[in-house]
Amino acid sequence: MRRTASLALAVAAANAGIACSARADETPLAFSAAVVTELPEPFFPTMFRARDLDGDGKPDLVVAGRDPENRLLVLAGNGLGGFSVRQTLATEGFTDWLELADLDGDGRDDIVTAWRGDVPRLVYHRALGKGVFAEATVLAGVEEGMGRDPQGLAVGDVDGDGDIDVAVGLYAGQAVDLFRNDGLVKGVPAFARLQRVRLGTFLGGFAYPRVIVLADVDGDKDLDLLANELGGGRLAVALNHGGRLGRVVEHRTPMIGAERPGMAHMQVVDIDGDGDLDVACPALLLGGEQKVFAFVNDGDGGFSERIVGTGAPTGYAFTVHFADLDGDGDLDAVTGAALPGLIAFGRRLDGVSFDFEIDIASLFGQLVRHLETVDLDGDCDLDLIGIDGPGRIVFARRNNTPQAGGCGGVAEAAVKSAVELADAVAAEEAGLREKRMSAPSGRPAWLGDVDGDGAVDAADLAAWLAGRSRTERPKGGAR
Amino acid sequence: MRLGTGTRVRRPSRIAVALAAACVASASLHAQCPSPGDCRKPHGGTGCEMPQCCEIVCAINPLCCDLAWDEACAELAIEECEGINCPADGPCDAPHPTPGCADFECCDFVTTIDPWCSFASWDEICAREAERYCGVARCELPPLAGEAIDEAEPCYERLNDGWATGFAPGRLAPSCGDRFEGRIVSGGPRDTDWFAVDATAWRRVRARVEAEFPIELQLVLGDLEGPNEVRWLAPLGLCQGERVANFLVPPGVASLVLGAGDEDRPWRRALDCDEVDPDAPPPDPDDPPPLQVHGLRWRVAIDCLPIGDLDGDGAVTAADLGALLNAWGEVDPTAPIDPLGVDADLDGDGAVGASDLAALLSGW
Repeated sequence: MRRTASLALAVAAANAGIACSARADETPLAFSAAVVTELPEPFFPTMFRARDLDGDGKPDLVVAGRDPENRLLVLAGNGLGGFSVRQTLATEGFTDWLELADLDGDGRDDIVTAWRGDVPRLVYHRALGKGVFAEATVLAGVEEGMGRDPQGLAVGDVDGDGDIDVAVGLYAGQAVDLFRNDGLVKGVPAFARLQRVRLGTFLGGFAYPRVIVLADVDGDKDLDLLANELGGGRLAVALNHGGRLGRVVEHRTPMIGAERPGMAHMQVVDIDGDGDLDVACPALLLGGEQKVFAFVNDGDGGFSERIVGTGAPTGYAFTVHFADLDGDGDLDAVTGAALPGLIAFGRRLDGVSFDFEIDIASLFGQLVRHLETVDLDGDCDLDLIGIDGPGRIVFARRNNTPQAGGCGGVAEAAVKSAVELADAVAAEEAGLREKRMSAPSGRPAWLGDVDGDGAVDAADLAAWLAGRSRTERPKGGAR
Repeated sequence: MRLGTGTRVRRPSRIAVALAAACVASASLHAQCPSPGDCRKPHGGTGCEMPQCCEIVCAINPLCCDLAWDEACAELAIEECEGINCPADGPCDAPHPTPGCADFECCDFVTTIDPWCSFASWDEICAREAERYCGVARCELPPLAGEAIDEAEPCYERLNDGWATGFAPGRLAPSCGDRFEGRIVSGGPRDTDWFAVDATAWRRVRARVEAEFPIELQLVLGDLEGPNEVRWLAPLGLCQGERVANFLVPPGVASLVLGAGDEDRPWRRALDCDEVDPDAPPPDPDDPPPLQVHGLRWRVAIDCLPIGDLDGDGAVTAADLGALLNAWGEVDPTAPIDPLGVDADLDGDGAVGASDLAALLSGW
């Protein structure tokens, strides 16, 4: 019922063109239709970072992926949500993740990534300026202790010596390797493995760490390590003590109804506005509507408290991105789901509770793997960029939501798009009814014990989705 | 509680099945396998240097072992021997970016317990496994002196696996002085055995552990719902006899977890269950027998000691006092806790100090 009321409000507000005068947390989120950029075949995008790489004021993208032709893509943005391939960089294996950071101290952000496959390697592409990068330089290979199947990675000054270190998540290796930056040797940053942190050592199945984050979660001004374990269904936290990581504490996903959700993604963000960093995640559930949940930081890097909020109305929640989409000072949530692909915009009802109104739920693609927000068009609000892996596309949706902060350009956008918005909302509503009819109702028959823990549950589906490079479902079992 | 169908017994590898078939079909060709020459390239001789691949190819085309290892044999090898990489270029005791290593026996053993070394690259873990396990004979536990409590877990079930699996949680519940024996197997999920060592206040426990396989012993804090902290993980090695872990347990739920593995990774293969599950159909008679590169048995004795008994000799003495004074000061939070060494931070406050001294003296 709340949904219907919100839609009606959105239509009314948009038609009237007076949405700016409503209280932000009562005004539905409004986004343009998707601007779609197709990526070259047979590229399967897995993740991207958005940044203005060429200094033209428009965000560009670097896209990692699983590509039989071994490519990493640099895309130039046109400021309206469209992108074109500026540079194709060669890899020697799939790249599931990348980060942008100045590894060599020349003032430009380089591309840091890891090549998966039989011969895993940590590499970087040196920034040459104007959004162009050099081909890969290997920073660490098997001989330097590179672990098995690197996927996620994170960058930051872990040892406090002023340069950028790299943490690499080892999907098959069930660990995180921490590589220390030892400065330049013949113009190339030299890395040595400082530490290997094993994860899920007590599990009968596989932990499968996917997303790795370095962030100060205990407020002591150094970077701690966080990793989400797809297989283990846990958040792993290792606090930094003087440049080295301490013992791992693993926090379990909360029970939601009768089910423990899969946790394919995480974002480290201050969800409750108390000044410390929490961990927000999509809650992939095999039955019914999807949720979002958060591990709430106790201020000292403990995450025992877990809270649950509304997520995508259907599909299987794979990723989530929290950002203030209406300028009211609290974080709204965009969920990306799979089977069917879906983008759900959830408006935070207030800054205290973890409650969201789903204003828009759009069917889109098959597996929305990654979402970020950035001001694409310079109108002082956050627009959405995402990727659909099987669909081989980057999409962008411009934010038309009136901003509580009174950002320039917002009112104009809201007026210009008033009719479009009303049409879009009506279409969304119709689509939502249809989608609800096909909401997940149980365990897919083809799903197997992907994480090897002896049970078939949501964690298996999260790991199965994370492992997909194609769209076909397996004929029997999984993987 | 039983494992689902298909997880009960490790399925034989493709290589093992192929090798078994080849052995049956071409026993007369064994004399040519292995022989000098790269299996994946034509050469002047008969047979080739990789025994398993040689057997497979000659079973398909006997001329490869009778006449010459020609282009057709090399092509067959490329097609049929994927994943077989023993022997291969590269030393077994050093990492290199290609799979396999030069010593066939060692390569064969390491790739059996760790398939990554067979199909991906011979990384530092493969090299360390070669150093640790190659040439080490199987060991058997000596006859048991006295009584022990049977773990009572058939190897096709997972009854004592704590929070390790998706099944209902279960732990062995030792009393002070109890002695247990049981077995560990690989498979999915890998087998671990959990001992409840819960505490209402800081306490000291001594575990005497021995096994026929490489032991990975952990102290896991926290209950099923978590959070869980692995306070320490101690690899106790292979065939090291009885090892003694003397450790402190903080208040709360705590579990001593025994598994097969080492400091690099858990073992998930090559310790197959050899029991037939009465609720499951018997295995295919053509399947290879269970693979057990080492024995499966373990024994664990749990004793409760005075908290100040740092050296685990059963009494708090001057030796313990000396050990505590020697450890005086801050405890490095990143340094791994060694349960085989001295843990003198009796109240777990991150430092060895006056409060720990008082705790020790109270048990004098």
